[in-house]
Amino acid sequence: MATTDLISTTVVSGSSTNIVSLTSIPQGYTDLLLLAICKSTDTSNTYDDLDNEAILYDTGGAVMPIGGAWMGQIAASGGIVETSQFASGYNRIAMKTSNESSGGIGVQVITMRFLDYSSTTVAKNVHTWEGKTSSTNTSGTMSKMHTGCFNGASSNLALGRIDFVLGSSKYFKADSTFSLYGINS
Amino acid sequence: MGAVEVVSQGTVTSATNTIDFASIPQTYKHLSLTLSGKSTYNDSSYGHQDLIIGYMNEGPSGSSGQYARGEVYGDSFSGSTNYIIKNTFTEDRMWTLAQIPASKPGYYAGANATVEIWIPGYSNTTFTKTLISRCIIPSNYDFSNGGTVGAWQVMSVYGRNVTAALTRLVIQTFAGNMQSGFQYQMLGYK
Repeated sequence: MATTDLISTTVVSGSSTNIVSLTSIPQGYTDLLLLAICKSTDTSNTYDDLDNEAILYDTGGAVMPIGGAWMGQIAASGGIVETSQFASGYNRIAMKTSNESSGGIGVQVITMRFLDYSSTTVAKNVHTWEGKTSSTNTSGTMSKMHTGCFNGASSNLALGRIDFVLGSSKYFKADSTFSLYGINS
Repeated sequence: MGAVEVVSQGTVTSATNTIDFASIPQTYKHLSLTLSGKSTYNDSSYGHQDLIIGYMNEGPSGSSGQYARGEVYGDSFSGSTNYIIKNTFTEDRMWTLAQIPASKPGYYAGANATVEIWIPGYSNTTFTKTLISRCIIPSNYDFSNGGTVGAWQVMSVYGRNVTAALTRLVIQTFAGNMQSGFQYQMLGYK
Protein backbone atom coordinates (compact mmCIF):
# COMPACT_ATOMS: atom_id res chain seq x y z
CA MET A 1 0.00 0.00 0.00
CA ALA A 2 1.31 3.41 -0.92
CA THR A 3 2.36 5.65 1.93
CA THR A 4 2.54 9.42 1.88
CA ASP A 5 4.75 11.51 4.17
CA LEU A 6 4.76 15.26 4.62
CA ILE A 7 8.26 16.46 3.72
CA SER A 8 7.76 20.17 4.31
CA THR A 9 5.21 22.96 4.43
CA THR A 10 6.24 26.51 3.60
CA VAL A 11 3.85 29.29 4.62
CA VAL A 12 4.76 32.77 3.41
CA SER A 13 4.85 35.49 6.06
CA GLY A 14 5.32 39.22 5.57
CA SER A 15 5.30 40.90 2.17
CA SER A 16 8.81 40.53 0.79
CA THR A 17 8.96 36.93 -0.42
CA ASN A 18 9.74 36.81 -4.13
CA ILE A 19 10.90 33.18 -4.29
CA VAL A 20 9.66 30.16 -2.36
CA SER A 21 12.39 27.52 -2.27
CA LEU A 22 11.80 23.92 -1.32
CA THR A 23 15.34 22.76 -0.66
CA SER A 24 17.14 19.61 0.39
CA ILE A 25 14.48 17.32 -1.00
CA PRO A 26 15.04 13.83 0.43
CA GLN A 27 15.74 11.06 -2.08
CA GLY A 28 14.01 8.17 -0.36
CA TYR A 29 10.61 8.25 -2.10
CA THR A 30 9.23 6.98 -5.37
CA ASP A 31 7.35 10.16 -6.32
CA LEU A 32 6.67 13.65 -4.96
CA LEU A 33 3.38 15.52 -4.65
CA LEU A 34 3.23 19.31 -4.34
CA LEU A 35 0.02 21.05 -3.22
CA ALA A 36 -0.16 24.83 -3.03
CA ILE A 37 -2.44 27.81 -2.70
CA CYS A 38 -0.99 31.23 -3.43
CA LYS A 39 -1.34 34.69 -4.92
CA SER A 40 0.70 37.86 -5.28
CA THR A 41 0.36 41.24 -3.58
CA ASP A 42 0.94 42.93 -6.94
CA THR A 43 -1.64 45.52 -7.98
CA SER A 44 -0.13 46.70 -11.26
CA ASN A 45 -1.02 43.72 -13.44
CA THR A 46 -4.56 44.44 -14.57
CA TYR A 47 -4.83 41.13 -16.43
CA ASP A 48 -4.49 39.22 -13.19
CA ASP A 49 -2.21 36.63 -14.74
CA LEU A 50 1.11 37.20 -13.07
CA ASP A 51 3.90 34.77 -13.92
CA ASN A 52 4.63 32.17 -11.27
CA GLU A 53 7.34 29.88 -12.61
CA ALA A 54 8.59 26.63 -11.13
CA ILE A 55 12.32 26.10 -11.58
CA LEU A 56 13.83 22.71 -10.79
CA TYR A 57 17.37 22.16 -9.56
CA ASP A 58 19.29 18.91 -9.55
CA THR A 59 21.10 17.58 -6.52
CA GLY A 60 24.25 19.28 -7.78
CA GLY A 61 22.55 22.69 -7.63
CA ALA A 62 22.16 23.24 -11.39
CA VAL A 63 18.89 24.23 -13.10
CA MET A 64 17.28 21.22 -14.77
CA PRO A 65 16.20 21.48 -18.44
CA ILE A 66 12.49 20.76 -18.96
CA GLY A 67 10.58 19.69 -22.03
CA GLY A 68 6.86 19.15 -22.30
CA ALA A 69 3.48 20.30 -23.44
CA TRP A 70 0.45 21.93 -21.93
CA MET A 71 -3.16 22.59 -22.72
CA GLY A 72 -5.82 24.68 -21.12
CA GLN A 73 -7.68 27.88 -21.06
CA ILE A 74 -5.42 30.89 -21.13
CA ALA A 75 -6.20 33.67 -18.77
CA ALA A 76 -5.53 36.71 -20.91
CA SER A 77 -6.74 35.45 -24.29
CA GLY A 78 -9.62 33.29 -23.17
CA GLY A 79 -8.77 30.46 -25.53
CA ILE A 80 -7.37 26.98 -25.61
CA VAL A 81 -3.74 26.53 -26.47
CA GLU A 82 -1.77 23.38 -26.96
CA THR A 83 1.94 23.59 -27.43
CA SER A 84 5.14 21.72 -26.97
CA GLN A 85 8.24 23.11 -25.41
CA PHE A 86 11.31 21.05 -25.91
CA ALA A 87 13.38 23.95 -27.10
CA SER A 88 16.97 24.00 -26.02
CA GLY A 89 17.42 25.97 -22.86
CA TYR A 90 13.83 25.72 -21.68
CA ASN A 91 14.10 25.31 -17.96
CA ARG A 92 10.91 26.30 -16.17
CA ILE A 93 7.26 25.38 -15.77
CA ALA A 94 5.25 28.46 -16.66
CA MET A 95 2.27 29.02 -14.40
CA LYS A 96 0.13 32.03 -13.58
CA THR A 97 -0.94 33.29 -10.20
CA SER A 98 -3.63 35.72 -9.13
CA ASN A 99 -2.90 39.18 -7.76
CA GLU A 100 -4.68 42.00 -5.98
CA SER A 101 -5.61 44.19 -8.93
CA SER A 102 -9.27 45.04 -9.52
CA GLY A 103 -10.32 43.89 -6.11
CA GLY A 104 -8.08 40.87 -6.17
CA ILE A 105 -10.30 38.16 -4.73
CA GLY A 106 -8.98 35.36 -6.93
CA VAL A 107 -6.38 32.79 -5.94
CA GLN A 108 -4.21 30.12 -7.58
CA VAL A 109 -4.14 26.46 -6.59
CA ILE A 110 -1.51 24.00 -7.80
CA THR A 111 -0.98 20.26 -7.83
CA MET A 112 2.32 18.88 -9.13
CA ARG A 113 3.46 15.29 -9.33
CA PHE A 114 7.14 14.53 -9.81
CA LEU A 115 7.43 10.93 -10.96
CA ASP A 116 10.60 8.94 -10.39
CA TYR A 117 12.17 12.23 -9.28
CA SER A 118 15.13 10.57 -7.58
CA SER A 119 16.23 8.47 -10.54
CA THR A 120 19.87 8.87 -11.51
CA THR A 121 19.55 6.68 -14.59
CA VAL A 122 16.63 8.14 -16.56
CA ALA A 123 14.90 11.46 -17.19
CA LYS A 124 12.06 12.30 -14.79
CA ASN A 125 8.43 13.30 -15.45
CA VAL A 126 6.34 16.10 -14.01
CA HIS A 127 2.59 16.62 -14.22
CA THR A 128 1.28 20.04 -13.25
CA TRP A 129 -2.40 20.89 -12.84
CA GLU A 130 -3.28 24.42 -11.84
CA GLY A 131 -6.39 26.54 -11.53
CA LYS A 132 -6.79 30.24 -10.95
CA THR A 133 -9.76 32.46 -10.28
CA SER A 134 -10.01 36.16 -10.91
CA SER A 135 -12.23 39.10 -10.18
CA THR A 136 -11.27 41.12 -13.25
CA ASN A 137 -13.63 41.66 -16.14
CA THR A 138 -11.15 40.95 -18.89
CA SER A 139 -9.27 37.83 -17.94
CA GLY A 140 -7.84 35.76 -15.18
CA THR A 141 -9.84 32.62 -14.50
CA MET A 142 -7.82 29.73 -15.83
CA SER A 143 -7.56 25.96 -15.86
CA LYS A 144 -4.42 24.34 -17.22
CA MET A 145 -2.44 21.10 -17.27
CA HIS A 146 1.19 20.68 -18.15
CA THR A 147 3.17 17.51 -18.61
CA GLY A 148 6.88 17.38 -19.12
CA CYS A 149 10.11 15.60 -18.54
CA PHE A 150 13.21 16.98 -16.91
CA ASN A 151 16.71 15.84 -16.22
CA GLY A 152 19.95 16.89 -14.64
CA ALA A 153 21.79 19.69 -16.37
CA SER A 154 24.75 17.54 -17.39
CA SER A 155 23.80 14.01 -16.33
CA ASN A 156 20.95 12.00 -14.86
CA LEU A 157 21.02 13.74 -11.50
CA ALA A 158 17.96 13.59 -9.22
CA LEU A 159 15.67 16.47 -8.31
CA GLY A 160 17.00 18.28 -5.24
CA ARG A 161 15.18 21.62 -5.07
CA ILE A 162 12.05 23.34 -6.40
CA ASP A 163 11.69 27.12 -6.60
CA PHE A 164 8.49 29.09 -7.23
CA VAL A 165 9.51 32.44 -8.67
CA LEU A 166 7.46 35.57 -9.28
CA GLY A 167 8.59 38.34 -11.59
CA SER A 168 10.82 41.22 -10.60
CA SER A 169 9.46 43.25 -7.68
CA LYS A 170 6.47 40.91 -7.31
CA TYR A 171 5.79 39.23 -4.00
CA PHE A 172 3.76 36.37 -2.61
CA LYS A 173 0.88 37.32 -0.36
CA ALA A 174 1.22 36.21 3.25
CA ASP A 175 -0.35 32.81 3.97
CA SER A 176 0.55 31.45 0.54
CA THR A 177 1.19 27.79 1.35
CA PHE A 178 3.32 25.15 -0.38
CA SER A 179 3.25 21.55 0.89
CA LEU A 180 5.57 18.86 -0.41
CA TYR A 181 4.81 15.16 0.13
CA GLY A 182 6.85 12.04 -0.51
CA ILE A 183 5.05 8.98 -1.84
CA ASN A 184 6.31 5.43 -1.59
CA SER A 185 4.48 3.09 -3.90
CA MET B 1 -1.12 6.45 5.16
CA GLY B 2 1.12 8.85 7.08
CA ALA B 3 0.25 12.40 6.08
CA VAL B 4 -2.99 11.43 4.38
CA GLU B 5 -6.19 10.35 6.11
CA VAL B 6 -9.68 9.44 5.00
CA VAL B 7 -12.14 12.21 5.85
CA SER B 8 -15.18 10.51 4.37
CA GLN B 9 -15.86 7.64 2.03
CA GLY B 10 -18.78 5.53 1.01
CA THR B 11 -20.92 3.95 -1.65
CA VAL B 12 -24.41 5.07 -2.59
CA THR B 13 -26.78 2.19 -1.84
CA SER B 14 -30.00 3.72 -3.14
CA ALA B 15 -30.33 6.39 -5.79
CA THR B 16 -29.76 9.90 -4.45
CA ASN B 17 -29.10 13.26 -6.05
CA THR B 18 -26.98 14.77 -3.25
CA ILE B 19 -23.90 13.97 -1.19
CA ASP B 20 -23.36 16.49 1.58
CA PHE B 21 -19.93 16.65 3.20
CA ALA B 22 -21.39 18.69 6.02
CA SER B 23 -18.75 18.88 8.73
CA ILE B 24 -15.34 18.84 7.11
CA PRO B 25 -12.68 18.77 9.86
CA GLN B 26 -10.17 21.62 9.88
CA THR B 27 -7.18 19.51 10.84
CA TYR B 28 -5.68 19.30 7.36
CA LYS B 29 -4.15 21.77 4.93
CA HIS B 30 -5.52 20.33 1.71
CA LEU B 31 -8.34 18.08 0.53
CA SER B 32 -8.91 15.75 -2.38
CA LEU B 33 -12.14 14.10 -3.48
CA THR B 34 -12.56 11.25 -5.92
CA LEU B 35 -15.88 10.06 -7.37
CA SER B 36 -16.80 7.14 -9.55
CA GLY B 37 -20.21 6.24 -10.87
CA LYS B 38 -23.08 7.09 -13.17
CA SER B 39 -26.51 8.69 -13.18
CA THR B 40 -30.06 7.40 -13.47
CA TYR B 41 -30.76 10.20 -15.93
CA ASN B 42 -32.27 9.08 -19.22
CA ASP B 43 -32.62 11.81 -21.82
CA SER B 44 -33.19 10.45 -25.29
CA SER B 45 -32.90 13.82 -26.97
CA TYR B 46 -29.46 15.02 -26.00
CA GLY B 47 -26.21 13.72 -24.75
CA HIS B 48 -27.27 11.10 -22.26
CA GLN B 49 -25.06 12.76 -19.71
CA ASP B 50 -25.72 14.27 -16.32
CA LEU B 51 -23.78 16.99 -14.54
CA ILE B 52 -22.21 16.94 -11.13
CA ILE B 53 -22.64 20.44 -9.74
CA GLY B 54 -21.46 21.72 -6.39
CA TYR B 55 -21.59 24.27 -3.60
CA MET B 56 -18.98 25.42 -1.11
CA ASN B 57 -19.93 26.38 2.44
CA GLU B 58 -23.63 26.43 1.67
CA GLY B 59 -26.54 24.21 0.81
CA PRO B 60 -27.75 23.38 -2.68
CA SER B 61 -29.73 26.57 -3.22
CA GLY B 62 -26.55 28.47 -4.09
CA SER B 63 -25.69 32.15 -3.88
CA SER B 64 -26.04 34.44 -6.85
CA GLY B 65 -22.82 36.07 -7.99
CA GLN B 66 -20.52 34.10 -5.72
CA TYR B 67 -18.68 31.67 -8.00
CA ALA B 68 -16.01 32.09 -10.67
CA ARG B 69 -15.86 29.44 -13.37
CA GLY B 70 -13.41 28.15 -15.93
CA GLU B 71 -13.80 24.95 -17.93
CA VAL B 72 -12.05 23.19 -20.75
CA TYR B 73 -13.84 20.22 -22.26
CA GLY B 74 -13.86 17.93 -25.25
CA ASP B 75 -15.79 14.97 -26.53
CA SER B 76 -15.03 12.14 -28.91
CA PHE B 77 -17.94 12.86 -31.22
CA SER B 78 -16.91 16.33 -32.35
CA GLY B 79 -13.21 15.71 -31.81
CA SER B 80 -12.84 19.29 -30.67
CA THR B 81 -12.18 21.14 -27.46
CA ASN B 82 -13.97 24.16 -26.11
CA TYR B 83 -14.12 26.31 -23.02
CA ILE B 84 -16.41 28.29 -20.77
CA ILE B 85 -15.06 31.15 -18.74
CA LYS B 86 -16.62 33.48 -16.18
CA ASN B 87 -13.82 35.79 -15.20
CA THR B 88 -15.78 37.52 -12.51
CA PHE B 89 -17.55 35.88 -9.60
CA THR B 90 -20.97 35.82 -11.24
CA GLU B 91 -22.24 32.24 -11.03
CA ASP B 92 -24.57 30.84 -8.38
CA ARG B 93 -22.94 27.40 -8.14
CA MET B 94 -20.17 25.20 -9.48
CA TRP B 95 -21.82 24.15 -12.70
CA THR B 96 -19.70 21.34 -14.12
CA LEU B 97 -17.54 19.59 -11.59
CA ALA B 98 -18.01 16.56 -13.80
CA GLN B 99 -20.05 14.94 -16.53
CA ILE B 100 -21.26 11.45 -15.68
CA PRO B 101 -22.90 8.95 -18.00
CA ALA B 102 -26.64 8.44 -17.86
CA SER B 103 -28.43 5.12 -18.00
CA LYS B 104 -29.98 4.92 -21.40
CA PRO B 105 -30.49 1.18 -21.96
CA GLY B 106 -28.04 -0.41 -24.31
CA TYR B 107 -25.58 2.42 -24.43
CA TYR B 108 -23.53 3.00 -21.32
CA ALA B 109 -23.28 -0.44 -19.80
CA GLY B 110 -20.35 -0.44 -17.41
CA ALA B 111 -19.18 3.06 -18.28
CA ASN B 112 -18.54 5.03 -15.10
CA ALA B 113 -17.17 8.53 -14.88
CA THR B 114 -13.98 8.94 -12.89
CA VAL B 115 -13.72 12.31 -11.17
CA GLU B 116 -10.73 13.87 -9.38
CA ILE B 117 -11.09 17.06 -7.33
CA TRP B 118 -8.50 19.01 -5.33
CA ILE B 119 -9.08 21.82 -2.84
CA PRO B 120 -5.66 23.06 -1.75
CA GLY B 121 -5.79 25.40 1.24
CA TYR B 122 -9.39 24.56 2.11
CA SER B 123 -8.86 25.50 5.78
CA ASN B 124 -7.06 28.75 4.95
CA THR B 125 -8.95 31.87 6.07
CA THR B 126 -6.96 34.46 4.07
CA PHE B 127 -7.84 33.42 0.54
CA THR B 128 -11.08 32.80 -1.32
CA LYS B 129 -11.81 29.12 -1.84
CA THR B 130 -10.72 27.54 -5.11
CA LEU B 131 -11.24 24.02 -6.41
CA ILE B 132 -9.98 22.18 -9.49
CA SER B 133 -11.80 19.21 -10.98
CA ARG B 134 -11.52 16.90 -13.93
CA CYS B 135 -13.36 13.85 -15.13
CA ILE B 136 -13.19 11.22 -17.80
CA ILE B 137 -16.07 9.18 -19.18
CA PRO B 138 -14.85 6.09 -21.06
CA SER B 139 -18.12 5.89 -22.94
CA ASN B 140 -19.12 3.05 -25.22
CA TYR B 141 -21.90 5.10 -26.74
CA ASP B 142 -23.05 3.93 -30.16
CA PHE B 143 -23.16 7.03 -32.36
CA SER B 144 -24.95 5.22 -35.14
CA ASN B 145 -28.06 5.08 -32.99
CA GLY B 146 -28.30 8.81 -32.48
CA GLY B 147 -27.21 11.13 -29.72
CA THR B 148 -24.46 13.66 -29.77
CA VAL B 149 -21.90 12.79 -27.15
CA GLY B 150 -19.49 9.92 -26.64
CA ALA B 151 -16.43 9.97 -24.41
CA TRP B 152 -15.93 13.18 -22.48
CA GLN B 153 -13.14 14.89 -20.68
CA VAL B 154 -13.72 18.01 -18.59
CA MET B 155 -11.19 20.09 -16.66
CA SER B 156 -12.54 22.93 -14.55
CA VAL B 157 -11.70 25.48 -11.88
CA TYR B 158 -14.19 27.08 -9.54
CA GLY B 159 -13.84 29.62 -6.78
CA ARG B 160 -16.29 31.04 -4.31
CA ASN B 161 -15.95 34.57 -3.02
CA VAL B 162 -15.64 33.65 0.63
CA THR B 163 -12.48 33.53 2.73
CA ALA B 164 -13.92 31.43 5.55
CA ALA B 165 -12.52 27.94 5.86
CA LEU B 166 -14.36 25.31 3.87
CA THR B 167 -16.49 23.35 6.31
CA ARG B 168 -19.08 22.04 3.89
CA LEU B 169 -19.05 20.75 0.32
CA VAL B 170 -22.24 19.66 -1.41
CA ILE B 171 -22.24 17.79 -4.70
CA GLN B 172 -25.38 17.10 -6.63
CA THR B 173 -26.58 15.61 -9.88
CA PHE B 174 -28.28 18.19 -12.08
CA ALA B 175 -30.95 16.09 -13.78
CA GLY B 176 -31.07 12.58 -12.35
CA ASN B 177 -29.76 10.66 -9.36
CA MET B 178 -26.46 9.03 -8.55
CA GLN B 179 -26.99 5.35 -9.15
CA SER B 180 -26.52 2.72 -6.49
CA GLY B 181 -22.83 1.90 -6.48
CA PHE B 182 -21.69 5.50 -6.92
CA GLN B 183 -18.50 5.80 -4.86
CA TYR B 184 -16.83 8.75 -3.14
CA GLN B 185 -13.72 9.27 -1.05
CA MET B 186 -12.50 12.52 0.53
CA LEU B 187 -8.89 12.59 1.77
CA GLY B 188 -7.21 15.11 4.05
CA TYR B 189 -3.54 16.05 3.61
CA LYS B 190 -1.75 17.19 6.79
